[in-house]
Amino acid sequence: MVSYPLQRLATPLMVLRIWHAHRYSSCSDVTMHSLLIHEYYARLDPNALFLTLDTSLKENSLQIRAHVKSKMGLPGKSEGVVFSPVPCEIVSYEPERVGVSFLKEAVEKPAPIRHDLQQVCHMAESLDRLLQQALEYVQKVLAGKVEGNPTAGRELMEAVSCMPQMDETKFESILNSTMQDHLMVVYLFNLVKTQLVLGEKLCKITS
Amino acid sequence: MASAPSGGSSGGKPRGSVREVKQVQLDGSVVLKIIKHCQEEGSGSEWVTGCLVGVVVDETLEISNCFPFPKDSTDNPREEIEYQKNVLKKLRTVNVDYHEVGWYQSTYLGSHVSREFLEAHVGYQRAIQESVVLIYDPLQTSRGALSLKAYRLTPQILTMMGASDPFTPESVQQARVVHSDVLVELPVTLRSSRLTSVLLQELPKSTTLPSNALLGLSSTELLQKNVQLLMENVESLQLETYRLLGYEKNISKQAQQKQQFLQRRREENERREKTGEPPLPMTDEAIEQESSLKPVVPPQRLEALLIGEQVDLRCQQISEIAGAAFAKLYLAEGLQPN
Repeated sequence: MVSYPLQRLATPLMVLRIWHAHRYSSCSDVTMHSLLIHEYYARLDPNALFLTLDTSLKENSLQIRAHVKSKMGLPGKSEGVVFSPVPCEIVSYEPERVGVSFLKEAVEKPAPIRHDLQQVCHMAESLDRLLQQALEYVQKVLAGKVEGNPTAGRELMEAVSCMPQMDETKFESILNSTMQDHLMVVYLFNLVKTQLVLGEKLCKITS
Repeated sequence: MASAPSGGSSGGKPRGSVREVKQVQLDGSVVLKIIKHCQEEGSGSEWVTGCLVGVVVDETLEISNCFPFPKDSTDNPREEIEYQKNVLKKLRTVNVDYHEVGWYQSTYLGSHVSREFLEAHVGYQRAIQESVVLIYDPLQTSRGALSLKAYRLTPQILTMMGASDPFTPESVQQARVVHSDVLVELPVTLRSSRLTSVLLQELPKSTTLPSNALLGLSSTELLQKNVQLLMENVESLQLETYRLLGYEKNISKQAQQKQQFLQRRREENERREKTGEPPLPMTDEAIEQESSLKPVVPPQRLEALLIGEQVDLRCQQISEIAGAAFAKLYLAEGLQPN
């Protein structure tokens, strides 16, 4: 029962986002208390959701579930309310995925944020591993040790045919021109930077 | 724009003796919150800001939480401070870390070094010595490289900002401050708690596959934008230099004019002595009044320092991008069947 006061804070941020009317509880049981709290949110938005996750990891998983309130019982006599589960799906967008993939590497111990070049090296290594795996699989299938899976085969075909087929010379020229562009830009920037540093050193000397 | 921290940050400061912070450790939730905030609110070149909450442990600044600032209250700084105080109070009642240790800001390709940025951060660093500012670049992140950097101001800049007449050319020369003395970058590490790790394992594969956008070969657009921004920066730097040169010319011209005036005065006085009239005054105020020579205002060198720092940061960025691009190009070459 952690988020009640924090949710109140969302009101000043109303310019910020759509009112997300839900709350989450850190045990996966739905209790009387949660009904009361849900009433508060239901007033603000009739479609309020109740999200639960199990942080005590009873079944070795987080058990993320979403519930909506619905009436049940016999009309006129004993009416009640039941929280019925709703299918829950986690989606994310590009920058978030990047963040998550960086976090995955920090699972064991705190990991530094890698810069561009190191990240490319890291991805190249993982690409290498994936290629090795695919190659081994293909060789095993060819040698008859493992039965070939047609879907896997088709995917591999697609991946291989994705490589753009180009003239060797054309590719070389594109490669060279791109490299020259980059080199030129780096040279320009370094020139500006050196001039700046020089200028300031000169000022220091003349003072 | 972020205002200075609310006075006293609702309670004690998170340290005993002053320690030098050497690195910054971010909790996973902070990273995701910042990304989400920028995604939802930041549109193009508008900047989003927020506050960082955490604790100082030995030489590491551990940031455990963050919350965004509402965007529209920039015209009323009191409201912002109130909002900040309220949020921190509420965090305290919920029994989580509530000491503010800095702020974060999104940027557009690294062009965040400006006067307002400096002033905002000076407020933070004066109140909380270990505070840092986290700069997040959404464009770079959607390209596939998480771009979160932590910066602090150097003590020299802080003392200069506190001086009464800051950043005249003379004071800058005296203090021997160069543009690289303005900001200091701190290394950032990521940390995810046990529960976060469990969550990461449970997320569906589609959300956790590492994005291959970083391996994309097309970076010409990025280069173009960077070069354009560099041109703008160099133009502003030129402007500042012209101002400085103009100031120096004015000073020498004024000195000359003053000399001429004094010369004429002396001759006049000699003539008057001969005729027995009282001599005319030769004091500075008299010179000002009679020859309409106003003292020349020295230009502020702060902008020049900031632009220099900006250019420096951009250079670093470009060398990183170019390095990665070369690696990718060689990779692509290696994959070609020949």
